[in-house]
Amino acid sequence: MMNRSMAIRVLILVALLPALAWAGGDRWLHVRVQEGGERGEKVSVNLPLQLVEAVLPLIDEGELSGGKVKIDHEELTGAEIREILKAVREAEEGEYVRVEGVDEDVQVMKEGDYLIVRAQEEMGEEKDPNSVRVQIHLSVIDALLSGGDEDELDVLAAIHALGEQEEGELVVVKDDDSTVRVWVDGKSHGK
Amino acid sequence: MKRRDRIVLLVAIGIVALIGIVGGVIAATLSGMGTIDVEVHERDGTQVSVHVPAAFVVGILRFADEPILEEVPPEALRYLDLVEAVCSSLSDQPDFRMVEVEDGSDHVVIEKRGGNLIVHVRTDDETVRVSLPLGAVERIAKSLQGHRLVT
Repeated sequence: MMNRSMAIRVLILVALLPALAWAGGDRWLHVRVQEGGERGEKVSVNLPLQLVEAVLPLIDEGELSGGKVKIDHEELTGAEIREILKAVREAEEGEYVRVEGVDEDVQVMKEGDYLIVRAQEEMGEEKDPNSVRVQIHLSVIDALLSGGDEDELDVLAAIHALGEQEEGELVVVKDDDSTVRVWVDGKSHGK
Repeated sequence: MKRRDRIVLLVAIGIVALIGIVGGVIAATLSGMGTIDVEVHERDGTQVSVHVPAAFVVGILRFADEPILEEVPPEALRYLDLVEAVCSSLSDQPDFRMVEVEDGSDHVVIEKRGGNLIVHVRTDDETVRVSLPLGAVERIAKSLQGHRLVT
C-alpha cells in the first residue's frame, strides 16, 4: 500500500510534468523559491513554454524519453498511477480523500474541473504549519493517460490539454523556512 | 600620364578595392555572428577580458580534424541537439531573465538579451560575465554534430 507522502509526491509530479512541457502560445512557466530571513536564498526561474516544448522531446534522461515518462518503481508502478488518476477522474465532485492524522491532514478533492490536493503538517504552536497545495485540470489527467503503454504518462499530450486552460497556480509548498511557487501565465517576468 | 602608367594605376586601384571588399566581407561576417565575451574582475584587481569573434570559432570547427574533437567530452556531445534546440528557440523569444539566484552577497543571473545569452555571476571575490551569441552557439553545435555524425 502506497503511503501518503508518496501519493503527494506523485500528484506534484503529475502536476509539474505537463507544465514543464506545455506548448501553449506565449505562456511562461515560473518557479519561485524564497527562503526565510533577510539573507535567505531567492531563486527565480522564468521559462517560455515554447522553449520547453522544443527541448523536452530531445531529452532522453532516466525515465523521461521522447516526451513521455516511464514509471516503474517498486513502490508504485505506472499501472497503479494510472489507476489512481483514473479513479480521481471518475469520482464525483467533492471531497475524495481526507486523512486527518495527529499532526498531518491530507485532502484530495475535485472542485469544478480541477483536482486539488492539500496537505498540511502541524509544526507546533510556535511555527506555521507546513503545507502543500497542488491544482491540476482534469483534462490534463485525461491527456496524461492517453498513451498506449500502461507504464507511461504521455506528457506531450498533456501539453495540449494544459495549453487550453486558463493561467494559474499549479503548486505552492510552504514549510517553516521556505516557500516554493510554480505557476503559469502570459508574462515573461512573472511578478 | 602614359598609357602604361594609367594601366598600372588602374590595376593598383583594383587590387586595393578588392582587398577592401574582401576585408569588408570578412569583417561583416565576423561581426555579424557577434563575439563570445568573457570578463572576469577579481577582488585583488586582476582583470581578464576575452572577446573572440564567434565566426572564428565556427570556422575553426568547420575545418577541425578529429584530434581537436576528441577533446570534447562524449557526454557533452550527447547534448548538442539539445543546445541547438535551446538556442534556436531562445532566439525567437523576447528579452527576458531566465534564472536569478540571490544568496547572501552572491548573485547569479542568466538572461537572454538581444541575440545573446548572458551569464552574470557576482560574489564577494569576483565578478564574471559571459556573453554567448545564440546564433553562433547554434552553429557551433551544428558543426560539432556534423563531426559526430562523420565519426
